[in-house]
Amino acid sequence: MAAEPKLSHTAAMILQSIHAGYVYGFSVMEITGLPSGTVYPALRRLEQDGLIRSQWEPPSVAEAGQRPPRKYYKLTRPGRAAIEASQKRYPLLAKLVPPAEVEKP
Amino acid sequence: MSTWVWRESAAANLAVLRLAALLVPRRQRSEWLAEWRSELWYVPRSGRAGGMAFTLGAFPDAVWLRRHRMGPAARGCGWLKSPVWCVALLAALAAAGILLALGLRCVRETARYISPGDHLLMLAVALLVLPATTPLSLGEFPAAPVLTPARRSRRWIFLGVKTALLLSIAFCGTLDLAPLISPAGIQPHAMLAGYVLAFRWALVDQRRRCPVCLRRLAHPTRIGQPSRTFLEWYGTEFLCERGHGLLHVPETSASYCALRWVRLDATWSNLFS
Repeated sequence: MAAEPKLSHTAAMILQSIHAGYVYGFSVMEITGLPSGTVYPALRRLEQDGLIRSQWEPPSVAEAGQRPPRKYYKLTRPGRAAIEASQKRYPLLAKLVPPAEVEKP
Repeated sequence: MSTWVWRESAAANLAVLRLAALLVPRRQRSEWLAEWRSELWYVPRSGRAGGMAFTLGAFPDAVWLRRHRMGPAARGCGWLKSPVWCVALLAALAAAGILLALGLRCVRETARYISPGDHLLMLAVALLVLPATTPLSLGEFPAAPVLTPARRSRRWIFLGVKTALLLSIAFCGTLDLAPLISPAGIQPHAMLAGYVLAFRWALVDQRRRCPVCLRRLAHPTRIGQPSRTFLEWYGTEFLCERGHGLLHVPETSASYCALRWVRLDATWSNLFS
């Protein structure tokens, strides 16, 4: 296995979105413009590969916001290494996904 | 959009989600459904149209989870592990099918109209269709000095017996069931489908067996990472529980990665005793 992770462009864009602060599935869909049938399986794959991990937010936070609890995704250490490698491979990646303003949990 | 229409739409979306949830492995289902219901809440609030387009994306997600489950259910049925039990079970099913066919009058009458020529034609068509449903190769076995001629022939005999029994089950099964489902002649089509499935299952099962002891391989482990796609091998590794070797099954077939058997030599035997 190569030391430097190689992600497909779609996987890199989804990872970059999470890195930029779009930390639940629907917000990733909104910012990338990818359909739900692409984003959610990709999130499962990235989580299985250990590049991201998921966590449900506490119900009390969701109740305070009068919305259902969100499942948040967060980059792991290998995920951060993967995004650095992808940014070298796809230089426009960071420009495609602007940083989120209020999304971070 | 009026409240009534939105309620109707939400109900339809939830119904589709529940339908897709049936594809998700049972132990992941409630969490999967909770996530999709939570995400669905944002669709009308984001001002984007096409809630159903969003919800239909649940199907690829559910199929992905189904395909990549690694629980005990994915490890195969216990009674199929041993080649002897496998043949015994198939023989019992074939015998039950034959006895039922001999006992039912309507079946005897249907069987009278099937000539040996028709039967051979069905087999030939099924063999022609087969490559479209599964690869015909049984895998690469490069490092196999332990595969003596006797073991090789045992492997081919097992495949032959298994295929013959499966074809008998397909033949008798369609004879038994087709008149009950529809008296208007679906039997030839059902028989063709049955033959294709029988050949396919025989090949798929044979590929998942140790070439030395013919037991079903176990303990599937994912190797590599599907999201890293450029010429990297990824797939599933199976292990012979008696320590004869490992089978590497690629996720996608390509010229540079095929089904490959890796033999474990005698130095590994301590781990499996």
